[in-house]
Amino acid sequence: MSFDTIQGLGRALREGRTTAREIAQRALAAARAEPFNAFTAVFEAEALMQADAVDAAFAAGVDLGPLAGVPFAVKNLFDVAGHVTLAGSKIRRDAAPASTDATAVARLKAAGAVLIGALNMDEFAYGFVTENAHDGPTRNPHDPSRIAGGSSGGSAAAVSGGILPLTLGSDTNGSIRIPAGLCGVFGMKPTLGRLSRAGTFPFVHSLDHIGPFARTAADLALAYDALQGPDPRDELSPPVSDPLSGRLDALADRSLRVGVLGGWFQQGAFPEVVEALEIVADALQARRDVELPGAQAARAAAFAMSASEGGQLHFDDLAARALDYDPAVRDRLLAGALLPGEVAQAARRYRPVFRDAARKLFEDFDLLLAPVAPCPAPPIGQATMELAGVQVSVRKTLGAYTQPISYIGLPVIAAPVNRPGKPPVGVQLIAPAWREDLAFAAALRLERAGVIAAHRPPEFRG
Amino acid sequence: MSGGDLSAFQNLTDAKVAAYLDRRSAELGLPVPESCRAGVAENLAMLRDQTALFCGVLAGPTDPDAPVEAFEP
Repeated sequence: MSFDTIQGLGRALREGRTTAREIAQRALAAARAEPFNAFTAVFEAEALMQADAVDAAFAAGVDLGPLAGVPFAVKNLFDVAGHVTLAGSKIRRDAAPASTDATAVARLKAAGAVLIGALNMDEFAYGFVTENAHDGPTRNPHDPSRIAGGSSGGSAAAVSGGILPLTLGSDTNGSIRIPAGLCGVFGMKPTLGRLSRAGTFPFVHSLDHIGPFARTAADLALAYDALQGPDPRDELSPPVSDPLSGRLDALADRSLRVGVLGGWFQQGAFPEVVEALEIVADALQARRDVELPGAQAARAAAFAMSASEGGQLHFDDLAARALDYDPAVRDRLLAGALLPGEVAQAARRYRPVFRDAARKLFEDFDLLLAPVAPCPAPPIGQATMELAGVQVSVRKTLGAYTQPISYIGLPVIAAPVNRPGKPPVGVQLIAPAWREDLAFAAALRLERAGVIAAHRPPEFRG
Repeated sequence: MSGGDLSAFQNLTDAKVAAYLDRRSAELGLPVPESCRAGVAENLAMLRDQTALFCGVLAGPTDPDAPVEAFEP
């Protein structure tokens, strides 16, 4: 295991203390031996070829930039040329291999990062637990008896467990933020469309986002910058980029007006989740009990859109081979496919209503805080949990605080609250649309103040 | 399907969810395996409850023919 940061690896490489090949070899060995069931594939030969190309570039005096030689892996819904894009399913195991890399994969490779493998996930990204019926559950590095969260559970566990300093995931309803929070690492969901989704297997096209996981805010910024850029393959892609990593010190010093979302966003939250949120709120001198009206309805609308659009996307396979789906996913997709079409239409119609409510709130605030999830990571296999005195489904409840935010496409950094020796708890740093810089400003300031930090799991502390 | 179908879906009682499942499954040509029926019905009931939450706050009756804004965050 290695808890080197991207920045640390870059220094070691430029000072000649290691090579891209050595870094890749260590990462490949860790990926093959990892105990969390985070990986579903390891791309050994290709990784070594990429690493050798980076070393050759350095030898020729060409510095590819801060991600040169950095090992990374991707949720297995990203296309990787020459490999089948599983999207966590059994159904796609016989699909043709991807002919080209997803845009995000291609951009990281072009920046010199070295692709090590593909990562476990909930089937078709429809879940918050990564208890995949075909590939098994991904285990939380902080407590292997507990879930890593999902649907990008492998992506979070690989970073949390010291396998890699950088991974990619996707977030439709919380699938980056929840595993980041439960595994105690940084995860970023950008503004809807900011990072190209081209070459990723869709779940709900109008809600899908992609983003990085890392162990520091600065590393997250490096990855975010490399992933940005217009892309004609994704119609939501903006024409301009907003690189941040060259101005992190200025961002960390920026003043921020911060509010803590109350009401729906704390309903049923476990005491340790509220306690962690308060630590962050105190550090940012945030105003408490800020109300974002309509959040419960927004969460419901995201639920319905996901079921309906997901059901439509999978209609033919559901009709032909429903029993080949993960049961936990299949029943929801079938129900979604049976909905009247007007349900999704009404859910889409509510979207600008709720967006406008959030815009009004951001007239008074630069940043909003909310917990990532109502609880720390539940045990693997636990179907229900008690929330505000009611037994609820773990799978359907973990996203209660994330779904309203992704429904309107706001950028969020899920940040791990610094609670040494305690189960990881994450906080959402929520910024206005297209203002990722404000979420990074808060993350950097909190990290430098020691309020948020990605800890090594207990067995790797030393 | 029409706006009336949306109302009918929202007004389903728990006892009538299974019948809705059978009717809709036949209409769409989407067979629901016997082993999945209980889970699908449970999810339909949950989606009915969720639908009531956001339809309840939308102003006025839902017009299925009204254009939906191309969403911008």
